[in-house]
Amino acid sequence: VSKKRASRGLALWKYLVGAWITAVVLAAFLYVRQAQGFAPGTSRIMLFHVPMAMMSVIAFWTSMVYAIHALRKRETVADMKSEYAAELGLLFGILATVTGSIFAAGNWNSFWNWDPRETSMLVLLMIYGAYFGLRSAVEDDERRAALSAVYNIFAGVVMPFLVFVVPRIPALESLHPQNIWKSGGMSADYRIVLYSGLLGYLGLFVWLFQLRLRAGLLAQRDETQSLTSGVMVK
Amino acid sequence: MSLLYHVASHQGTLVVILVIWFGLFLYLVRLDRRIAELEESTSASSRVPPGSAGPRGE
Repeated sequence: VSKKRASRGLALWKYLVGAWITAVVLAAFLYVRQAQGFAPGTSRIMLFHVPMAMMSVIAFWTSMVYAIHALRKRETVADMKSEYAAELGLLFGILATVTGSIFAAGNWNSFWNWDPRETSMLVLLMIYGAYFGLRSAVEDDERRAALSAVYNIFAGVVMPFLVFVVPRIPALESLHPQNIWKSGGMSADYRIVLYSGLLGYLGLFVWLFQLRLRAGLLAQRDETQSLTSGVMVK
Repeated sequence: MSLLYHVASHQGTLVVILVIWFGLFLYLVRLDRRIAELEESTSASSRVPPGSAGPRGE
């Protein structure tokens, strides 16, 4: 009974995530006004693009934390969690890049400008793409978990440099607006919708992560059962 | 009036984003339920000792 109640409780927060993100989308179109200095209709892309990029960073760091755990405790579940968080980080990173490209086409006349922030995001996506390449190349479970955890920690250490340092080097002259986080850089309506969006994506991340983990554990259980029955038949 | 103009000029984009989001949300709800069903059936079958009757009394 308590398990059923718990699952009902979980379902409720998932519906809340759905309603919250719907409200954020509506607010981005009905509440927020066109910002000055941007091509008409493009400034609200920022309300989706920036939280997605932030979510990508949060997911990659989550992945690194689980990688450290997997390396220290040698737990299969921690390795699975690390992999799934990296998958979601890659998904949010790709979405941030796509929405950023749409913004760039409207404001800078090209979908891709080799801007420092665009380039560092691309490098970051390639680093995590290689992480999955590494995982698929090693067949032994324990060896794969150890190698990919070490690589993941390395990627997590490099990431702040790519996300926070490289785009802020003045000599590289980024096209991205530089002062939006300073006071007066962003109006209150933009701040409210942007952080609400981040909160919504955080809820969506937790849901997707949980779904992926549950599906992964089911697949693993299925594999173990079929192996056990195979041994019994022999 | 200004709000009406604002909505009218971007209604296509808003509708597309909402349709994509609702589609994704409903898919996730269905997927969640399906996984819950599978979890339930797997845990039920793992509770049955080998050689005895299955969950449906087969």
